[in-house]
Amino acid sequence: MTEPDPPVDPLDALFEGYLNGQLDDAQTADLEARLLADADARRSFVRYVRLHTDLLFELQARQASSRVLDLIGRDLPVPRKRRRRVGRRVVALLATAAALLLAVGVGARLTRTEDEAVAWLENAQDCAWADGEPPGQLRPGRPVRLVGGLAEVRFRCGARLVIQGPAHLDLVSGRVVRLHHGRLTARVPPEAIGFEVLSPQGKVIDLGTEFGIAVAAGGETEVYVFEGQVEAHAAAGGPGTNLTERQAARIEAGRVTATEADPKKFVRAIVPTPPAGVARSARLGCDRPVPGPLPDLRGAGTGLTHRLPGTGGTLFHNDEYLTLDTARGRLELTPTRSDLNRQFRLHQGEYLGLRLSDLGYTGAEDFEVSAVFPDTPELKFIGQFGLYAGARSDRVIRGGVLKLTKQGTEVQTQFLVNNPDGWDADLHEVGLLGPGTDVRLTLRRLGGKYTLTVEDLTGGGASTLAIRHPDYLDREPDLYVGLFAAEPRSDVGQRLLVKELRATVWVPAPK
Amino acid sequence: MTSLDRKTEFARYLAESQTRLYGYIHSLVPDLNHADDLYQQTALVLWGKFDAFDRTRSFFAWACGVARFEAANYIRALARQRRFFGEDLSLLLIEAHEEMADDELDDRRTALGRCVDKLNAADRELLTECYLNPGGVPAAAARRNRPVHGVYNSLRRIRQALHACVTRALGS
Repeated sequence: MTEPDPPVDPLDALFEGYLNGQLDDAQTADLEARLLADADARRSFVRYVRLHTDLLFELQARQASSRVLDLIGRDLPVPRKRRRRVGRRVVALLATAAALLLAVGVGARLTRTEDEAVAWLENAQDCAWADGEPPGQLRPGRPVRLVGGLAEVRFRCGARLVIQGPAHLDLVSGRVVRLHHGRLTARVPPEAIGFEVLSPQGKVIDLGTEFGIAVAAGGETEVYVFEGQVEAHAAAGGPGTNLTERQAARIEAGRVTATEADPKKFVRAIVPTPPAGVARSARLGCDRPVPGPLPDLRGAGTGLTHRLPGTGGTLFHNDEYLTLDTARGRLELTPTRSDLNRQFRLHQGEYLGLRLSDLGYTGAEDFEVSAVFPDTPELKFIGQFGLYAGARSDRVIRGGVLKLTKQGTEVQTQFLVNNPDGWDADLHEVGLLGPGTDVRLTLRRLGGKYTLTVEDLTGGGASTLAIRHPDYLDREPDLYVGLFAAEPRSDVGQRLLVKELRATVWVPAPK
Repeated sequence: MTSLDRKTEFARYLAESQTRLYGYIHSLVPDLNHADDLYQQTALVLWGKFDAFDRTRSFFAWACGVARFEAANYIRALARQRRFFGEDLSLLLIEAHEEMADDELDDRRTALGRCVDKLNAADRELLTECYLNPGGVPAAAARRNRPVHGVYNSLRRIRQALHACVTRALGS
């Protein structure tokens, strides 16, 4: 719907142009002359720009109300009728909100809708789902219908199920599933003992470790114990039958009978298939300038080509936070104050790297991005650094090294976190990392599963982190990968060193 | 005076002026991201120069002077050849800012809240997108499939309506 352009007072037009940053030199001079000449015009001007600021705070406060007041509003009265001095309260509110948001940091969400989920999909291989889409939140009562492929579901209680399609099961609770038909293997750690799998003919209670259960179309149930023991019950009731390692049983017609073991029918773990296809790689050795769109502060091309969309908007073309030290063969990145969690100050955020479509990525291929960080800095001044993969700043997965406060002490830890909508979720953090080690980080997607591997190049050893499957990335036709360094709390930056950045996409072999 | 006393004193001065100072800085650089950065920068410089601050003077006026200096450098560094208001006008504008009494500022904010309530939902939504979403006006226009100048026209219409509403509410 088009709006008629009403005749505009030239002074009003200049005020608006000023606020929008649209005035050219001549118009600015015009505005200046008018304001110098007329005290009333000046009074109008300062009140108009005041409106601009107040409007910003007003809109922020309204938005902050829905996000933050639930948390802190119980102590602060929410003004329903606007009273005097509400301005001060708004500013105080924003200040408290800001302080609270700063404290919240990585991994925290202010609205915990996924707290009700008792399980989540952690790994999937060639899955075809009856609904056409992977199940979202796995809450009690949720049916899971897998037409084909393998799905690994991790429960909050610690149990892990590998489900083989075709299968249909219901999540009865955080510790009970009902298998209508299909096969699954359950791995149950000590804290989840008592996990139950119900079947049309009976049920199996796990007493520790690992078992497989298969329910055929007619409801006949077969159980096999890989490790530990289980208690098998027939539907009719009666005492359970204990089964131990390498024992198998059938449950049908109200009875549990021993049977011949057939462990091969069960899949115990999803083994990542090696990447299929031809590797297309880009490698930056940081040992010579490579012309490109993201030069360092002196204008030397770093070879990096794309920032994560939604970041770096107000950074200068010659990036003052980036230095290519060809003599030492490394890139130096000064972290800036930004945080992908809550999309904080991303206009100054350093998230830069490459675009996968440049390597032939079209949306479904396996890929990985890796970087070597020599002599990892003491995280006194760097809050977090590592690698990211995503479509934009609010649809991304990232991982690396993070500074956290645990029980009053600051520690460095490895982390991997999803960010599906601007807020961090499903933070997985593990281990401690001392400063001064050389590490290689690799963020990869193989067979659809995302992992972050942290290799300690100094001391040897590696650890791999997995995470709840970021299905929000599955439908993206293009992804941006690269490295980042951020310090959410201050601008005092120590430099992050990067020795090598490599991105690989496995494209289908030409026929 | 101990350093803790100095900090408390500075904090108090800053707290008293912060809204007005932010408003002044925002009037110099209407882009929020830059206004935010500039505010932080200015506050740091003020703290650094606090010893030299003549307490018989207006803290706000002094702070604005510093802000103006920082803004000029900031804008120059942005490599955008934007002309800045000359010093004569700037001093007059600082005076005009200072002239607005605390009560008037509070009343304006209160009135604005009510005036925003009176907007229709579509206008409020447009404002929220233009002011708060990354990408600002151009992104809001793209999302609605409207030409950018059309959205600027809407923004002008809404802001002028709010300005008129606030002015009416203050009875001035």
